[in-house]
Amino acid sequence: MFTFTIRRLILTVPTLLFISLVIFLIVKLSPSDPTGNLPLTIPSEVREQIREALGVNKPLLVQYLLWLKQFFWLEPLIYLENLTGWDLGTEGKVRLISYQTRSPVMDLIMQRMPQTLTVVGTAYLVGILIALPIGIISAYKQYSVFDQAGTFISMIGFSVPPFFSGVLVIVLFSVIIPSDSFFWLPSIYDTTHEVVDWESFKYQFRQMIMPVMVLALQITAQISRFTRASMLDNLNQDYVRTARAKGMSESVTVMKHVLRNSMIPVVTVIALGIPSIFGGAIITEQVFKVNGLGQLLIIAIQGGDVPTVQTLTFIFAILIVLFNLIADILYGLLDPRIRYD
Amino acid sequence: MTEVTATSADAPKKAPRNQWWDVWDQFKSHKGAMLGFVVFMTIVLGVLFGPMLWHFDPTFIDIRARNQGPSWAHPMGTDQLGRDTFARMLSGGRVSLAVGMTAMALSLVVGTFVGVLAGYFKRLDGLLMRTTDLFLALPLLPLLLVIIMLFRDKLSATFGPEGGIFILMVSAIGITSWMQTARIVRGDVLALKEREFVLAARSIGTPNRRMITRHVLPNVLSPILVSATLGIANAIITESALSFLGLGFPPDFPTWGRLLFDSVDYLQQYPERVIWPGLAISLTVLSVNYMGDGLRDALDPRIRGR
Amino acid sequence: MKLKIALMGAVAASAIAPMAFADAHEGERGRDGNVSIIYWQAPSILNPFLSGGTKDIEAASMIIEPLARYNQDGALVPWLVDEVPTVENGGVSEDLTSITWKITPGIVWADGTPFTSADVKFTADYCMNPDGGCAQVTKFENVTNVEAVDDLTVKVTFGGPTPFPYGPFVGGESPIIQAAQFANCMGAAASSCSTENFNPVGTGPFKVVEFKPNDVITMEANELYRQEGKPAFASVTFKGGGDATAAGRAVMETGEFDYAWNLQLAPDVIANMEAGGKGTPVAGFGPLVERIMLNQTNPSPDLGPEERSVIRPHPFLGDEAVYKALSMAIDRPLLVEIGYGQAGKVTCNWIPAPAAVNSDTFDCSTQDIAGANAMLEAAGWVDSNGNGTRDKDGVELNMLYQTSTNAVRQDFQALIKQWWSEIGVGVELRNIDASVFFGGDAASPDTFQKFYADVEMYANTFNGTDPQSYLANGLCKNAPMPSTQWQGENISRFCDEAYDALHKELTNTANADERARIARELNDIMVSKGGMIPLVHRGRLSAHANSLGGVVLNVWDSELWNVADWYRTGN
Repeated sequence: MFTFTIRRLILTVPTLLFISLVIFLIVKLSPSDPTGNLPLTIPSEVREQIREALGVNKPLLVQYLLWLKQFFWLEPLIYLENLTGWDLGTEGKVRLISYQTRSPVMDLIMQRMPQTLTVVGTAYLVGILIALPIGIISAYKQYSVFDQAGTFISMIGFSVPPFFSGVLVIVLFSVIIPSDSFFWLPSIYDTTHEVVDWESFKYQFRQMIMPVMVLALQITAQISRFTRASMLDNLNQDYVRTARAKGMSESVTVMKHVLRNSMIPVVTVIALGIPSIFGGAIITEQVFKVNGLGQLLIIAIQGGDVPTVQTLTFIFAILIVLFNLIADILYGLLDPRIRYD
Repeated sequence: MTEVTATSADAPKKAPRNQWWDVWDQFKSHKGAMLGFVVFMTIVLGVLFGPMLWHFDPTFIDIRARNQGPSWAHPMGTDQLGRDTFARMLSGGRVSLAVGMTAMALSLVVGTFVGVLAGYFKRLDGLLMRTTDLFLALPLLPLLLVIIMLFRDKLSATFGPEGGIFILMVSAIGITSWMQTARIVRGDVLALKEREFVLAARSIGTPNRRMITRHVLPNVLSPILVSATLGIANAIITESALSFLGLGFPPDFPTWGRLLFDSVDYLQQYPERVIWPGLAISLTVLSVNYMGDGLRDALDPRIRGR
Repeated sequence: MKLKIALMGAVAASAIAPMAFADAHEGERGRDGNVSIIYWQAPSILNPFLSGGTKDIEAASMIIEPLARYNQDGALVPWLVDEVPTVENGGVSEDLTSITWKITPGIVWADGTPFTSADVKFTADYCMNPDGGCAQVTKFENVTNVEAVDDLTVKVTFGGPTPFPYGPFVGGESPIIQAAQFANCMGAAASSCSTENFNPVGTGPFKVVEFKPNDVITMEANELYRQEGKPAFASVTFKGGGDATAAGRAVMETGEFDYAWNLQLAPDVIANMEAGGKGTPVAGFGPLVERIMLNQTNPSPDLGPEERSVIRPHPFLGDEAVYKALSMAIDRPLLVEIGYGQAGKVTCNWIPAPAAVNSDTFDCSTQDIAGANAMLEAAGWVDSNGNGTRDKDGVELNMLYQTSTNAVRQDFQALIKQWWSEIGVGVELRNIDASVFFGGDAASPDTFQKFYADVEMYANTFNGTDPQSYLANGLCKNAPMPSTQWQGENISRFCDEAYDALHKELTNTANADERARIARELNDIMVSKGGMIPLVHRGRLSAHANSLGGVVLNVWDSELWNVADWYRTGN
């Protein structure tokens, strides 16, 4: 397993380089223009000058190599400088600059990270914590009332997109409920809010309820369905009968043997989902104005901001590759028969 | 399915019953599955034949009759331009169901194929899974815009405007949503192929092809069925997102996803407008889910005997 | 008797007004706490010279200011100067080649240093630097020299007679930035100055505390602001993001915000939000017109890339009967009612504002399907093969009608398609994502400049009150072509010798009335010769909380132009 991990880690480097090239080509090929969002009153010669100043018209290869150098060399150096206070000679070097804000892309990402991790991360955690018990109980008591209700809610939850469910909860909790009521919730997420004491924590909690719940609904639906299906598969296996026959208690049989063997698809889904925490939830962030990484990405795409799109997508790619590797390692731990060597 | 009904007349007389007959028996006895089947067939038949029977044209504008609530003339009311919502739901369902089912099927086939190959053959695993990583990492929106730019005009020229757009949309959704199925199927196959019964089958020299179709595929069916249910919902919603990008059908052409999106602004004044498409999508997904449950039970010989 | 009552009413009103003024309007700086503003497009940068986006210009206008501004009526008002220079007061030279601004003495930047003519000259140098990619460089068009005569006097010299010299340093697009702060940000270095671009030192009522790009700006009152007791608010929360619906809801229904910008929503949605009772929508009208552009070139997909939408003429849109009939078949009052409500007016003109340049030649307020049908019949367009669309000499009246993705535009498309089908014109609709449609990517077939369609719908406007450069959009030479990478503002590829000649005359005319007359004539040529079908004169609709006083909606300049005068009312 150890040699497998090392080999895979080494292999990720060429994989990621290739992915970065493909992402770059797609982003550059797609019809986008950093001056596309400007008012029509700005004439085309001026637009051309702006593009020239941004370096949009340089040859593709030059732009790609420049991005590689900035992302893999300059930005880590600057990060190191900030961390240690050493002078590594980055002064005056052109950093990875966003077309829209003319500021370093990495700073933008760092700025957005907290709210995305808080909101989307919490939603994921809540989603998993609700989904696993629902999935397990639903499978164990198949076709019980609990199972039927769980199925119904999770299916509705998955087929109602957040652009609708988000607006629905806003109308219910921010518009219909009067704003002086205890149950009123803010419809606009305040990203400048800082938690310093109990009162401010309560406000933070209130403003997180709606976005977290809307996101968690989707996540719960997905994970609980896979858990249930996988548990059902295993509950009818011979080894369960054997365990019961040996006189093992029901809870040990289910929680230890069945659950462990059912976790492979669940681990896969969760491993695919964790990078998306970083990717943010584009629609939910828009609906509640959380303005995290998802909103940064969508604005950058609409604004033809190639450096931002490229960098964000690439970091996302790194996480995908890493978490899929972690999933593969976990398979081996869950089921020792699985071998990669 | 048609084969089953064709042979059903003389099947009971023969001594060894066709195993699909058992499957059908088991499926029938599953209440949820039957209910799902009936609802689903109602929706399918409704959207197939409804537009021919219903006298309103979904694009006809009667501006004096706008923003009406449900009535005998307009059972689901009218929209902000006075178009009949019922007619729009019926013809919108055609597109949504066709796109949803086809795109889901495409993504399942690709996902299962890649997943089984990667899990079963160690030599292919690395390459296939790195390709999956690549597809997972691609930024969806720019990718779709590139697809539109490169292929829309060519496909329209070859298959006609509507056929071209349908193919484009289905393949766009298909190729951007197969990865999860592939990862899940591969994970299950990795574990499966070390099980005793697989080792036993291999020891008697079963060829790979039959190993996969006989022993591996039936045992990874349940996650595939879950993916199918989730995939339909995903495809119907993604279709509406595509039409906003300009990749979908013309803007006056209704689909469920689009009706839902357009009516969100009117949530407070005319809540029924959101309810109809929301209900249609949810019902479709629920019915497919229950059919999937029934099918899974029916195909599992351990349950079938009970 | 009635007159007397009316007079008494007027007297009473004028007596109450100053009291209200005294009650809520005056006091010490920062007395009213926090004001929160929501823009559904989030500001990315606070330097208008590097962005040009409306959201960025308006956010920056609370911090940095120009020498003169347009007020809500489109009239120039002095801002950092004592008076607006004119030929009459000697500020503009007789030969119209220079303008001299006299800065009001005593103005200081928010950091306490004096505001001088050197800052003004620096601003011009900054924007005119060819490597900087300045988005507002057209404001400095034809400027040959900017000279700081003394500390408080700036002289701008133009390359030739300039009848309208109020380009540089006027309006929200051209504010003054501090020379000391931006000294190292000239030209190519402009992009690396993110601290300066995010936190410009200004003379305006507020200064930046924290700027989170594309998210939120926190501001506080500028203690050194030149007007006593202003601004009334101690701090500002300027939130960005989301969509227009959510912004409107936050002001008028939930009451979380005080001001929401540019609510492009269906009238009944706005009406429902207003019923929420927490805020009020306000509308103002600039020269923004929603129109259908008629392609003067042939967009057939059978043509090669060098010919499609390049070679003239269009198969049928050049026929007067056709484009007149298309216009007559449209019910404009209904479009206004459905799409814009109080934020729209029927117009038949390309340039409906300011009032002086609004032509009254045409009347298009009534739909005339029968008349349109008769006109097409008379011109020989008949449905000879019975397929539902008219044809003539083998040319069918079939059109592709494209626009950007936007709920109101899709409703318009559906309505107009139905009307046109009633006069025997077949229409295929297409909607394209706005970032692609308005993005100038020469490789995409879907941009509005490429115009690979017969007709397309969008809105356009101009800055300030002088339409000369906007009217240049109809000049033959400005048509987008492959050789210019499809750049150019003459989207319909309109080409008319009389038009070009008349526009030349406009550039040499100084008299305001004469300029307005020529502008009206140019408008008439464009519309009557089938360059476009104007549909709706669109206003800007914003909303403010009922407790926010002093809001004066201004469409000629930044909407936040008088934010220093805003205050909290009692209720």
